[in-house]
Amino acid sequence: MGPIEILFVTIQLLIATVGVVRGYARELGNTLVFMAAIFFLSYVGERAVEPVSSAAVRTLGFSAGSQSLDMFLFLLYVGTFLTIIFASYAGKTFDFGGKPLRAPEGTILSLLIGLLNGYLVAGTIWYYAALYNYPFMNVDTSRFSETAQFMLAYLPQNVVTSPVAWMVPVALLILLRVRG
Amino acid sequence: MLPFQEQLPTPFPTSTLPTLPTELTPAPVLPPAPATDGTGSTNLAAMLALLIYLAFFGAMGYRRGVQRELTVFAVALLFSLFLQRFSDAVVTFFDRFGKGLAFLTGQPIPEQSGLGIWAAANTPTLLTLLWLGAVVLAYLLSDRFVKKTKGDGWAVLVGVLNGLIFASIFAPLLTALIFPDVPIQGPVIQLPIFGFLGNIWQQVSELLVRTWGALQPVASNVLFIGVVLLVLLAALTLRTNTKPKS
Repeated sequence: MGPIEILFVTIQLLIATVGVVRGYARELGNTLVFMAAIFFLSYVGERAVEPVSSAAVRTLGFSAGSQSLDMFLFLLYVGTFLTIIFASYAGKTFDFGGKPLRAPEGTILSLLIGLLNGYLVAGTIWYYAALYNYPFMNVDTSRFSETAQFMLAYLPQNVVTSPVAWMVPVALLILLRVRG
Repeated sequence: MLPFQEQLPTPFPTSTLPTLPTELTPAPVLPPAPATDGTGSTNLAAMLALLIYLAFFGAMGYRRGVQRELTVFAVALLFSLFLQRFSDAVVTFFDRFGKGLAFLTGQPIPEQSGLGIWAAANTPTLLTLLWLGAVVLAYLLSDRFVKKTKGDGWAVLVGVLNGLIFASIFAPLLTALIFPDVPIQGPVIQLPIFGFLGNIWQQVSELLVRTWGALQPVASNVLFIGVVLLVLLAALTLRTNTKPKS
């Protein structure tokens, strides 16, 4: 394993640890928000990238295709995503009602959902870092290990061909929450 | 090589997952599987057999409860450590027991009794028999004297752990019985649980890599479906306290 995959796996494990501590009843609400955010950033973001880039070139003076523009877009997308993540954890959270399973089944489920949340968060950050050529990072992609290349192919945005697919689990979760 | 791994017998060759043609594998490339020379190959049938075996022990743990299973686990582990630590004392005890019998029957007391000679020559067999006797006794006595607790996930886990310990002891013995030509090195009482677990881990990881390779054309879809199913499973297990209206 090379340094970059260790960095993102560490982020995933940190979020998984938070998931185990909070329990999967609470973490499912975050999962729902993360999936909706991934859909929003992929679906709306893909359509907004052209006008936003043009506006940035006009108003901020970036040249098209420059590293500065990549940095700006990376900050915009990842900043939006991290803001959504922070909002989902802070204040009044979107929890699922009901009584979770007891340990060890409940703990195992919490760990799995925590790992899933970590995958969604770390995977999305990695996706936008790769999309905008790793701004703020001195990364030589030609030296990526096989593991890193393998992981890159299975990032949340690369797993499905259409971002709308992420709304399927979101819809199902909302349905189950409404039903109680 | 992992500790005690040399005590594990060579896996019996059975059917394995088919290897996909290389042209079907798109980028990214999976780490290459180790060369299959028969000993390191993933053994699907053996893994399934182990799964069924562990499921049996898990079900037994669920039925017996966590306290009974923990009792057996403690006896199996502690008695094994005791026998390893005091094997010389056990042999001496048997020697003196033989001398005691000679004294009681009025025979001359020898320098070393027949029982003592046998115990010294067959120490591993003796220790294994003692361990097996203790475990069987622990099962029987725990059924009678230890309070049955409600079956839960912990009971299943401890049951599976007991299954792994027994497999690490029984498997080499049974293999020697079925395939007499397979040499079993060293005393089986050394409890080669770590070597056994390491071997299982190696086999399972090889099986997963091969399965992922076989799923390669639809691997992304499988991953996504897995995510959806996990989320649904977690949501469905949340029990609500609301009662249906009559």
